[in-house]
Amino acid sequence: MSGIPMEHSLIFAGTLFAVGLVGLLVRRNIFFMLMSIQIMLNAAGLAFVVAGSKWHQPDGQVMLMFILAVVGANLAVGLVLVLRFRCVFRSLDESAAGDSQGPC
Amino acid sequence: MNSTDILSLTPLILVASSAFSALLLVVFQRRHRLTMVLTLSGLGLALASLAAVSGLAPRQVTSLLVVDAYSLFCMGLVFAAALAIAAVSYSYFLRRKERDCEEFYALLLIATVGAGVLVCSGHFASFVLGLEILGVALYGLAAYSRTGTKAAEAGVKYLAVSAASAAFLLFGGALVYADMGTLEFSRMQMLIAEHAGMLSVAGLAMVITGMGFKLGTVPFHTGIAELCHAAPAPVGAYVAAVYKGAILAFLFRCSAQFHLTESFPMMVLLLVMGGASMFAGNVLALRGKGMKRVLAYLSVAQAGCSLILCAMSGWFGSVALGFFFAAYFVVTAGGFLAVAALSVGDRDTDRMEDYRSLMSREPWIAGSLSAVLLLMASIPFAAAFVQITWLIQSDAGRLPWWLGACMGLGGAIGLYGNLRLVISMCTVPSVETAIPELARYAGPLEK
Repeated sequence: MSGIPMEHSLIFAGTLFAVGLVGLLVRRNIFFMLMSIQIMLNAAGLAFVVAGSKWHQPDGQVMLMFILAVVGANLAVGLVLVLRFRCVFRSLDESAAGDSQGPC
Repeated sequence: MNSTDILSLTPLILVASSAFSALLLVVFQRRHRLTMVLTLSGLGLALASLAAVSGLAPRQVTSLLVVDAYSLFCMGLVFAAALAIAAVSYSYFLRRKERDCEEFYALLLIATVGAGVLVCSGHFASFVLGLEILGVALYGLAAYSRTGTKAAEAGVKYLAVSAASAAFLLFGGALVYADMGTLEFSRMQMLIAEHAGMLSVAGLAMVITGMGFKLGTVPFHTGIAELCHAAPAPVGAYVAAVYKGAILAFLFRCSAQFHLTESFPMMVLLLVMGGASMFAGNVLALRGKGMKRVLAYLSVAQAGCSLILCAMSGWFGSVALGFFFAAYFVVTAGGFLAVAALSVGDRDTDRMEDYRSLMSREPWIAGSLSAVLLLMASIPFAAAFVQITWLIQSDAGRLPWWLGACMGLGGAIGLYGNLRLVISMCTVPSVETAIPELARYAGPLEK
């Protein structure tokens, strides 16, 4: 990677990951939680590509392909679960499913 | 990759092909019993093929998978547990009068393939793929039941926890790769011994965090307890035994074969997580409401105990390791399978009152549940014994003293809680509990 140092790209990927994590922790809407998770996984993919280009190996990009497959599978099943949740609770708010929260 | 490589992967191929046949069968005909027979025979064949394949071991199949005695042993445990769970879920679904339960077996088989890949993995890519095949199939299993609201909630909550932990694992893996330049665990070992930069330490910490999420160790224990509570009982058994067991098996391989946890900070991290989960799991199990929650917390405690063993596994003989693993699978699956075997109708037999004086009603199930609980309580003491021998044999300076104290205390609390459960199951129904029953029968007579 000419021009851009690896550290900068890793910091960018880390920031993206943090944005996703904060979104997952703050938002209660399942749909936005799913989107935050996708951001986190894609940040990991970006970090792999950056690392792969540092070592001049294709492994990083191959891992990105795997991650994209994982993201796709997660999203497909996740959206089905969102539909199911919406059908049961008439809401997309995770806290709508109240009764079994708490440590015990 | 040549034909011998493919031959050595026969067990995995057999389970995968039975998963596809189960799915294909559902397309043409919905027959519960036939699907169950197909599942059991697929898993049985895979178990039998393990013995045939053991002649080819040890063998490195590309850089992704390692087929050796250890992975064959772990695959055997995984397949046997899946077989038991599939057999119990058949009668469980029949008694619940659930409709359309054929896909359950297909999902179970797919998850089992994932667990098999996970215990064989020798490369970060195969590790992630195995874990995700296992995890994504479990979303479906957790949300399978269509009666009641619990299943949808379990699926969504588990999705959030599992996908977030996968992101942690992957990002950690990327950082380690940026530092080391390799994704093969065996090559990582040499490079970590030579130099471990800040990136690797941060990456490994993130990987351990992700593993902690997946295993449900303290401080991430609520997710797995929620899941086991809300999911159907056979799925609880699968999560507690196969899912967590396969991840633990992988961690053991990392620490014993690839020595990834030998550096002091990693070891302390594992020990702290293990000790805390053992203590917290046993304490939470004491005041848990509902049998499935109690069992989930007990499985957290078991996972903690295994993490402690994992951190010291460099010393272990293979026989001790095999014993602990087999015991782990039996105790974690056994409890939930007993709950599944007791459940009738819409909901699982989950309330603690249902288990009072169970021995007089269901002697066989109560007897095996008691045996499982007692075995579960005895494992930490066996582990503590091994630990003490280890301390005597090696220089004791490196391991902190509080670890032994934590294990002893956690084990004692676990023993107290489990004995209390067993005694409550064995008591003869007292007059106080019998009176409401009598009143219920007497009510119609008085009218």
